[in-house]
Amino acid sequence: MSNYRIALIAEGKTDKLVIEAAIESILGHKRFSVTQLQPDEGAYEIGRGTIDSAHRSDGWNGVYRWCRDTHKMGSGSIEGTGLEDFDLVIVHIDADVAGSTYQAANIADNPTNDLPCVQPCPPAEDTVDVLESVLKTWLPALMTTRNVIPCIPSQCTESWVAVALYAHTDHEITAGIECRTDLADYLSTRSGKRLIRKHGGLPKKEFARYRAAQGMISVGWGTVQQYCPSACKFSKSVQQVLTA
Amino acid sequence: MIKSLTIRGFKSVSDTTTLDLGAVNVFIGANGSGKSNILEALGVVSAAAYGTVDDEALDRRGVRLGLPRLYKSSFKGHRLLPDIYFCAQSDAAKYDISILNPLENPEPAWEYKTEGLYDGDHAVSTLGIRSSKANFPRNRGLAALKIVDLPDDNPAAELLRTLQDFAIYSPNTPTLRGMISETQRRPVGLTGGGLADAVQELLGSKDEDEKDIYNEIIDLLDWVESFDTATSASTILSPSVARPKRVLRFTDRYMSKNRNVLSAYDASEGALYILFVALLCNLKSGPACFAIDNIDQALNPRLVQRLMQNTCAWIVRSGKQLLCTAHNPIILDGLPLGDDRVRLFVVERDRSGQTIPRRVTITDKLRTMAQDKGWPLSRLWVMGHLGGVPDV
Repeated sequence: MSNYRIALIAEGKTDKLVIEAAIESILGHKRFSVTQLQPDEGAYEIGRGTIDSAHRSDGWNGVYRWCRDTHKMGSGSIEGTGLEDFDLVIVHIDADVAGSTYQAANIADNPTNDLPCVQPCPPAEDTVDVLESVLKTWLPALMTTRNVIPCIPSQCTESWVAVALYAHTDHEITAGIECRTDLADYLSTRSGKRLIRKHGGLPKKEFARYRAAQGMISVGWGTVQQYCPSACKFSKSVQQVLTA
Repeated sequence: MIKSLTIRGFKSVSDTTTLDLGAVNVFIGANGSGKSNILEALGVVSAAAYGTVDDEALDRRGVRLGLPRLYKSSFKGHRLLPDIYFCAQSDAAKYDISILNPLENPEPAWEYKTEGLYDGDHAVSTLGIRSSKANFPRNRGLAALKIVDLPDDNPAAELLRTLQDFAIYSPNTPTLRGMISETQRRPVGLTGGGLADAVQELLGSKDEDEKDIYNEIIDLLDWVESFDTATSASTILSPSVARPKRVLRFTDRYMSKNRNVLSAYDASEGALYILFVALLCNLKSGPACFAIDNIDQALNPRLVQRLMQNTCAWIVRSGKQLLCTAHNPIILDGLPLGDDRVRLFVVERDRSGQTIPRRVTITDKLRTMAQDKGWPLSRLWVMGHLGGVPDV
């Protein structure tokens, strides 16, 4: 039985878990493995890193840095990057990145300065489309390669999680889900799974609980696609590459 | 030389998986990806080829002992197969087995469901549940007995002897220093015991190739002027230190004469690991095919890179075969992967947890990336572009 090799650069570890659960559902019983990509950490801030900034590959600036590294490496092609052996390469950023600036993420080498790029929501798709264009400027040649696809949940992967886990008991959660910016609060107040807890007023994602919830997210993926166009778009992209 | 190894149903290698091996085979991958399981699969084949798969035979080959429920692949949602299957092939011979042991009340020795040794298409020995050898014990291999009647240069006999001698070496510092004794194997023990005796074997060798090794080892140890062994260690070892009969001595080239001799107990552990690898790769008394788990431990990155380059040359020169696991990315940049005899395998687990080894083929484009653009394999590996990285 063939094994699909999928590479994923994601904002964070819990995003990876959610995307893996989605792929599990999309591919059904087909075998696959997901390799987590990360930027070349040694290339940044050599000797200047602090304990607080040790995880430089986390967050959307980690995705940005990986894109720039890989763009420089590939010189206009996926060949020679080592990625050509993967069946699928997924580049994830949340749509809420559209509200950020490069300066806020300590990124000084972006030539286009095309953030923020938020569009009125609803519809959520407008922001997703514009952000996808921004993503293409980060990795111009590779993002047009057939097996390299974006994954942009709106506003963030927690919208997919909320629908997968709670839509069957809380019908109101699905209304305008892709424009909601309060899903961390929502998930932190749900009894039982409590995927997010508040610590010092800030949301903290519970990695182990996300991991335990992967199966339920996978089972609920059909519902997620029903209410989240970004999930539907992602599913289609995966299917187009892997089943074409 | 073993050209291919097929595994099915052993630990995390559940589906039928075949590895096409070279002379030097380096396995990289995340911790827990199943690299050691692949080495241990060959360890089980080795025990079977010797005639018995029991704890003693497995332990002597460096295979971690475990109950059948741990040896047999058991993944969620997968049917548990009753037997474990292995097949090792050389250019002209094949040895395959499937072995059985119940999960409940397991027997001390695994039973042979089938065993076959083939010289080309000719079956030298076959054993099966329905075979006519009703009086032959089910927990004994027949091939090991059959090769007694074959000429030494028979390909099937050569393959079986190569398999029989296989072992997995996992050196550790206390044993290399001589502080812990272990069951002796030639030329060194599985965890590095008897290093001084092996060095003496090298120093006393009349073989021209083996004589070269001394200089090649010295070349890797920048602080060492010379090394040898002694049977009396009272001048270089504290009386409080337990010692073997023969001890290893290094002469430090920076220290004053008469105060410049160190025993293995005091020497840099890196020097001991270098000696260990060099002796295994080169001494003819050692196995023709062997594995070293974590070949890169305790070594400076530049030193480990040079050691791997030397190791490749040693293995090819001695006609041996090495399988090793490594974690230091710098190793990748020193491997002569343009030579088909040197093979790099990335070991990963798929979403269901099954181990999948995959050979990394070096394309011209990858080579250009490394040489001209400063993107060596070590960087690509850490970034995840080659796979075989943990999700951290």
